[in-house]
Amino acid sequence: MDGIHDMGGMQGFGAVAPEPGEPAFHERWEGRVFGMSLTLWATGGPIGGMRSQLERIQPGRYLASSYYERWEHALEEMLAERGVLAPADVDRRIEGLRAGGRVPERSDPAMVEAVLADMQPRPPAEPEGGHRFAAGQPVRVRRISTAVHNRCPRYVRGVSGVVERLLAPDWLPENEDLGEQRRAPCYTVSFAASDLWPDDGADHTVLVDLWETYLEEAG
Amino acid sequence: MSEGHHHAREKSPSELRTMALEALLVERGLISTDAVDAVVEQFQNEIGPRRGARMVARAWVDPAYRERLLADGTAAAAEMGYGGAEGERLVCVANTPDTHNAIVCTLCSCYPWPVLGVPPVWYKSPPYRARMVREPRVVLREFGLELPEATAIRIWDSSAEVRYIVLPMRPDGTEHLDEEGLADLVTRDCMVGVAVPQVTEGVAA
Repeated sequence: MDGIHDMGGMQGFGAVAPEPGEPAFHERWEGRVFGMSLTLWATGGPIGGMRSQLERIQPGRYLASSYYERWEHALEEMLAERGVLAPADVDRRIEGLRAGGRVPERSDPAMVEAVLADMQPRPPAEPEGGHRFAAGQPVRVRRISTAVHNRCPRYVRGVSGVVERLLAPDWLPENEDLGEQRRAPCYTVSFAASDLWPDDGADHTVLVDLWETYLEEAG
Repeated sequence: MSEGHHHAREKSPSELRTMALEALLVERGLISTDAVDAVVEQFQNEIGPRRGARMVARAWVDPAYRERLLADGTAAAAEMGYGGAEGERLVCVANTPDTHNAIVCTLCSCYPWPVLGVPPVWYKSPPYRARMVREPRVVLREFGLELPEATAIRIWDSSAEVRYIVLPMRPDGTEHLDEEGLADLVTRDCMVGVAVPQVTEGVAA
């Protein structure tokens, strides 16, 4: 999807603003949003991937929202899509909270175990071959144009680069939208800044990880 | 139930929405309060850049570990007990006298949680995501990092499933430091690649 999330190379955003001594979460609710999401993922709850949901947020809202505001909104959307929440549930509950209602508490040791297990090292994924392109080979990024969720940044589309390294095959980002279960080899592709933004006069290298489905031979 | 709503401060809309969502999900049995507590506690107290700093420090003192770290970041992290979500495919890229590396995620905010914790706001912000791939020298200068013109800059956009961490160079004047002392020099920003380790007066031999 050609959404606002795809920001690489955009201009006009101004300076980066680091915050010294930044906490993990600035406000309690941010940690709760993060914790709820990880709990749902760790327990196979009724939500999908965050990336595809975030990029569907209307551009104006996306830019006006903080990171955890976007997550909270995406969570609501995913739960509504899966029938867990009815449209007015959250608003009605907010009224209840305003009237003095409280957030109920529940303990579930098995769920705690599941979220903690999700933060432990996992057995290594079996590397598989099947790569069509070789390290050092020139490739060009296809001019992907689709409303389906993908991970092919606009700034590399149509641009040629060189395969830097082969990465293990992975699930296609498109699977969730298309209802498929496909995997494809991945690559780190190296691009010269002078090819990405020819008029900038920059001399650095940008390395982008891409699925094989986004690549073609550079002729 | 002791802290009544009557003396609570005004809650923000996001706070209220989040509380409402938590209430609904708890009632539906989809989450538990203690599971959410556990996630927050882990990322506030256990999972943060100190982990990555320990890996970097070990790589500085142990050439065999450095080799393993660069060959398979996931396994090298697992050796230290670090891994899990957003760290299943960890790749470590090493700075050299000729090359400086930095990481970004232009499409969202992918970040190696198990070794750096949750990303800072600036890493997730439009200016960093938009500009780091296009004018890294300017951005690095804004972070106070002025690199020689001859230094090659390599920006890693974590657009797929690999998560990156930068292995900075060990600064001179640190020969007397042990691993913990070395880890103290390695900030989150050094491992994102927007800073390099600094040796302050008190630390230098």
